[in-house]
Amino acid sequence: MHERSVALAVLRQLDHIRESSGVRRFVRVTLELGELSGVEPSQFVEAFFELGTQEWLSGVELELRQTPLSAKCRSCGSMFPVESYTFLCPLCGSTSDLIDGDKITLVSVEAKVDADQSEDDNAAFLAPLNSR
Amino acid sequence: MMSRTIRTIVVKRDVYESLRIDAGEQRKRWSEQGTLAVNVLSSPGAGKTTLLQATARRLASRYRMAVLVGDLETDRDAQRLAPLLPAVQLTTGGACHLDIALVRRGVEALGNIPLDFLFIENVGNLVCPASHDLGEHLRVVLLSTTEGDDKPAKYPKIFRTSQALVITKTDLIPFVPFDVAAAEREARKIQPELACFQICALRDEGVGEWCKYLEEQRNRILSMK
Repeated sequence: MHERSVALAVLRQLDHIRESSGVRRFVRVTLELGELSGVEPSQFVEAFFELGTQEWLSGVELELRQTPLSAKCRSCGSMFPVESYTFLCPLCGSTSDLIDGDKITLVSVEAKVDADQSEDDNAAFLAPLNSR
Repeated sequence: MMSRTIRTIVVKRDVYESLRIDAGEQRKRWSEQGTLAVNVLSSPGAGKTTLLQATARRLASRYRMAVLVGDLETDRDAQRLAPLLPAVQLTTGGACHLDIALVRRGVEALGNIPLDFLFIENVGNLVCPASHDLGEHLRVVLLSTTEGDDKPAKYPKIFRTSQALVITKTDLIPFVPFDVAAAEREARKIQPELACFQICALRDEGVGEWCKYLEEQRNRILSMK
């Protein structure tokens, strides 16, 4: 139900990247959706293209990868894939901590950039948020 | 004319990172003020407002308490709670959940008064509110006996991200096919550390134990200051 607000958050991040690293147009956007991220992929795709009508997104390909749930047992330390949302360790029955599968991650983008933008600028756009 | 080239930029960033940071800062602020923030979640009609009324009747004489109430429309829940404790209605205008920005506006509307407990009654919905950290210390999910004991398995995220489960409307157990033990078992597969309570708020049954838990949780926050 809130796929629109997730799509808006992704579009804001893309806009931020565009402004700070000389992107003219995005060609491909790759996202990871955790199994427990609360995002339904088909609804997300619909919202993304409905809201992402900017020229710098025209023709963009959206690649979604789903990340399964995995957890680590607090007692015996074993790592295991979480089946049917059961977080009890299959080996010893203890409680576990979630390792992966609950987040929405913007993994990477491919973009047309001005040729004079050097590779060194790659991480420049990350600075303002990371320094918070 | 400048030439164009295609470049891959590795981002690897959590889309909700900035919201998570905001929520973490709010949680820290509440901890410093000695305020236990409680996010109350359930489907519509499970009894969030009734539980908060019963809670306020027990605790409001001893503690400074307030409530932020989220709904799509109307201020009816705030009107129900206002005789018992300061209440601010947050109307989302159609959005299916509260977010940190709306909660901050609510805190401002309360006048930033010093509080021991702040309750945030979320929009009735077992899906979207689970994905939104409001800066709370404690997330409690209500499950009413009329909804069925299969809800934890059907809506795992909300049970996974909660610390407490309150089974409400226990007075109706004789009339509905609800297995309390099965509901708690299912929920604890998803979140083994869930604290479970059984309450009939209308008859004030089980409310004392719940309030004791809230006081313990607040003491935990105070001891970490």
